[in-house]
Amino acid sequence: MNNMNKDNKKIAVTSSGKTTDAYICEQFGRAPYFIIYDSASGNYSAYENPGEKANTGAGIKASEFIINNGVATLITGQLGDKASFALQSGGIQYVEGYKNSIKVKDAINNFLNK
Amino acid sequence: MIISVASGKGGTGKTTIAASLALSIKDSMYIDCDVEEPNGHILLNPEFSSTENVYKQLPEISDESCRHCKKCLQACEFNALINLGYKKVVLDELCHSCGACWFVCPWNAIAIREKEIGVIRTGIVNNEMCFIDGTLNIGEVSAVPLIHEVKKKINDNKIIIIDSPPGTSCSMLEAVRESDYCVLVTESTPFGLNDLKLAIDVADSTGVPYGVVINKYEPAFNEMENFLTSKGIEILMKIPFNRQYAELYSEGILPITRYPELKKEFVNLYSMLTIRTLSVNAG
Amino acid sequence: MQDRVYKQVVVLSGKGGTGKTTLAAVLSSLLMNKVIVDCDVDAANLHIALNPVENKSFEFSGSKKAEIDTENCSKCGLCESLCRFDAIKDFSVNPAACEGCGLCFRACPSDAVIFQDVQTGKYFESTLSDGTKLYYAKLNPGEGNSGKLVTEIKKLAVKNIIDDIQWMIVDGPPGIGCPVNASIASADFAILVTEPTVTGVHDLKRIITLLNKFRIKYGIVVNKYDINEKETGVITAYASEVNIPVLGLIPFNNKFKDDFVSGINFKEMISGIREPIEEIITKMIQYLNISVN
Repeated sequence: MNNMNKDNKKIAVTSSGKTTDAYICEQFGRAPYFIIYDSASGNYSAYENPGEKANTGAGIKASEFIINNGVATLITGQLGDKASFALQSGGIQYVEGYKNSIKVKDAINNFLNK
Repeated sequence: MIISVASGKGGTGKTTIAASLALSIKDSMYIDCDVEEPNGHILLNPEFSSTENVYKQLPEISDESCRHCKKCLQACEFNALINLGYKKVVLDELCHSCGACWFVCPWNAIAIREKEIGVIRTGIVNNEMCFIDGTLNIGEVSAVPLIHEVKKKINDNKIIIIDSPPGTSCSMLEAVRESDYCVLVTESTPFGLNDLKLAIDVADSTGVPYGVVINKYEPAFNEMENFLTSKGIEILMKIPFNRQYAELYSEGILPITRYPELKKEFVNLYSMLTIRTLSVNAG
Repeated sequence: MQDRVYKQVVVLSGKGGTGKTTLAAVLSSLLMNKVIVDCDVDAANLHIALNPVENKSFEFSGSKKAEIDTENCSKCGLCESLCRFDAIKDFSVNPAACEGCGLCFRACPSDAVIFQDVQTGKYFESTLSDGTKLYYAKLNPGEGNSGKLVTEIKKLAVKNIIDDIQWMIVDGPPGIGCPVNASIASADFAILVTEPTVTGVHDLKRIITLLNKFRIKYGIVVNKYDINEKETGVITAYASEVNIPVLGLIPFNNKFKDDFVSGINFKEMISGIREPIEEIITKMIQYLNISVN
């Protein structure tokens, strides 16, 4: 699998808002935003999820975005079948089980400290 | 003659009524189009004679010929294609087999492959009635293509009873369309009435004539009859709520097999339907 | 990490007609400080039982549809020959059959196809007599694609949650497809309603597989259990074997049914089955390990 363009330090989180103070969105395919944390630079960027408004295959659209933005790891609540298949095909590591009572920044810290 | 049996609401007794009607007609054929959860076989106990796989067509994108122009990805309205940079992957269950990606590809990089979406079983009930059902594989995005294939098994020499999926979405529409008459099954409750109205909207859009069977009938719920009378919709039959019927159904037994007077009512229902469809054709 | 302030409970059933919506309505009448979401968007019924006043309506678009612009149409017939869904006849698109694939739009040599998002349904924010918010939807006849609509309704509900809300009660759609996935997203607990029939265990197994995958706690309720005590036994034995809590068995109740069809106010009606449902709530709260007023 060709991972040459992948930056292993990028972590994506499904978010209900555009800042790291926003709470996690447990859905992936229809999450409104992704917050991507680049642990090399320490920077956070927020993106609208192209899957949110999709009529069908929201998880696929979302997966495509994650894969094509050089993300190494995705943190989220739960993934549907098709999204997990798509992410695996793209070589993305994912961690499920995060709840929407946690803020994005806390989830990232929690993951990094594991 | 093709009679479809449908219901806006689940659990009203649609399958029981479709199966009972089919068994009350000579030279009939029962077709279970509730492909997501076919239950007709539990009540009718057919002896199966054959199973056939049903396929849909999917794109096969050649890595060698693909020039990564992404026209196919842009053309797919269902997000069934995913761009992994070095290759394009098809999400089989999301593909609607529309052919748009194949059409737009300038490099002839898309071929057609087939994938199984479900099975159709053929059988016989009590050594005389033909039985067909379809079962959709879990995860498939659309039941419509399988229902379309199941309906192709219609034998013009028989009286066809189509057991439609419950609800009012595209699968029910596919099962009901082009039938000669639709029997809408409801129950004497406010939920039943609400969902019947939705089912009527769909039936209206198909142009198929229809009438209503009120199952688990309660005279106290007069809203149902008032509504139907005010709209000029015929009440074909009323089956009073009967605890024994409920108990038999829970065992997978059709009440008409134990209650001859109930069976007579279904024979009578068939006569009514014959007259209704003749007058529609003549009119 | 702290738990959410409110708990989200979803009421599901593999098959229609088990009493899922009725149970959701009764739960709604017995629990305090709640928000209610009817995610059975293909056939919403909760508002029939709870009788809200409509506040606001919102348009929903779940699909694109094609339409032929007769002025530009050169009548070449290419669209009709390409359409895999038999949706085009005599240079006109049947919207009910159109699946929104856009092939005709891309293929038309005269640019005569209009292809755009269309309204396929509506959803509503309404209020009950005690001030509780109820959200529900209505899809246009023949339309599907409800996963997106379920997500939109839930989002609207969450957006309007105020601090003292302790429960979000969700009436789930039947079956196991995308709309069900969307209805159970972020759920704390699922109540599976089943009837004692020969297909009872089979219908449960499919939804159970999904809930296990999503790691959601759940329990079973057998409704009208006395219609067939043998099958009820099969279900409870299965539950015991695979360690699924049985929250309660509700007897078939004629008075409840008669009251229901007579249109008696729902809150007054539930006296007949209050006890078994209160037990279900108590058990559910135990499994959720919370203290509630």
